[in-house]
Amino acid sequence: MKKVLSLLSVFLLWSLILTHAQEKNMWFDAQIIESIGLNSWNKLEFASDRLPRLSSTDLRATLNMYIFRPVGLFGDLAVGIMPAPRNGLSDPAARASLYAGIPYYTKELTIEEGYQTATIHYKLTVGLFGKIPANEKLSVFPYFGIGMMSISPPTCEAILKEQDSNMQYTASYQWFKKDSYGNGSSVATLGYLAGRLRFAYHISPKFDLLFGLEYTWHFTRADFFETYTNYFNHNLVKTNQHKGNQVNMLGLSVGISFL
Amino acid sequence: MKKILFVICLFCAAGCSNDWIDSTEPLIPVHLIGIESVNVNNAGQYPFTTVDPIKKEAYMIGVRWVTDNADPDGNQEITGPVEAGNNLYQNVADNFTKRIYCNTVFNSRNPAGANVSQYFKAVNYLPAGINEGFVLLVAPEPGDHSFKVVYTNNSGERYEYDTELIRLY
Repeated sequence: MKKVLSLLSVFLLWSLILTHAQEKNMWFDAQIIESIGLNSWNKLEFASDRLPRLSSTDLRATLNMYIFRPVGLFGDLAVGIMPAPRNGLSDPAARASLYAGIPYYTKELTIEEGYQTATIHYKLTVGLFGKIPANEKLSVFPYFGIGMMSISPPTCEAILKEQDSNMQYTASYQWFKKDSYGNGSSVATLGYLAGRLRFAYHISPKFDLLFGLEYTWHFTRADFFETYTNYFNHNLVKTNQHKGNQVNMLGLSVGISFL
Repeated sequence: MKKILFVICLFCAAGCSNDWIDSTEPLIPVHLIGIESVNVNNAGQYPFTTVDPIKKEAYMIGVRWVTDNADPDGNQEITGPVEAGNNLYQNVADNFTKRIYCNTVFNSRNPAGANVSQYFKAVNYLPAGINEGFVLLVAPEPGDHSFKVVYTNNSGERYEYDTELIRLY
């Protein structure tokens, strides 16, 4: 039985290699991908609602190259856009978690960036793909890759005043990471693993029509940092870190292969 | 082509005209001739002047500037325009050193007459009609309090004003 299976495997592999013998070793795809998030950035609603909404429209160029038919390497670059956050930072004092039961007022919003507009991001993915011919016209390509996405997270700094007191605090809210001075990073890099299933329909000797299903798992968490310092003497009063979720996204893609 | 040139000229003229007005606009000299200090309640979102008791942790002193438009050098002649940046109303008290003394016993370490300036900090949010504000960051003993605000400068000018007695609780 084992011999039969081994022979069958060798035969299938050989037939796949023969099938691909006439194909080019390298080709290029152009795709549009629409993805939606399956969970939220962060369990803390304040932190989640002030990041770009988890919906992304990407334009992607992929270079595919066989290394050992039917297995190959791919690399792609994408530029995409995510809608503006659900909530702007209308009142940072609403978040203030310094002392329980004490209300705070926003005296001044000193920094407020990245809440009003859609966010442009860039993605770079590399990995492996395979080809499984279904019939003469249709082929299925499973892809598996690792990548990174650069995004400009929002940042906020406000001066808060305590009720029934002259005390004032500088509240600073950042996402993803912060440096040792409590400042947020202007660009955050998120790592992800991507699994794709791409269906290629051969329409002409030069082109294939592409349809795809994609799943992306971000292993970089969307952590949220809040820092409160005494406005008058700059002493650190309180700092909190809220661990973010590992975001899952599901997407559909359409495109063209240039053979 | 003529229309385009006309529009460009119009824009240039509009852009230049503002500079021309700014550079030659006369500014009336302003000089500090006195101060008035008042009690301010800073407990809520917005501070306000008051004669009613105030929480001792939310007490603030507000200062009104008394100014004069006369030339400080006593010139009797008509002068040319004053350059921008000199004698502006918002800078009128910049050259003064400001101190606050307590007229009543502040606490066990600061008897009446002690300099308590180190317990106050200047803030930039003020009630209407107030030019400078100083919030108290160390609460005094509860009771009736009054403070003396003193402005001095290197020219020997000295202005002082006592706040009304107010109950801090």
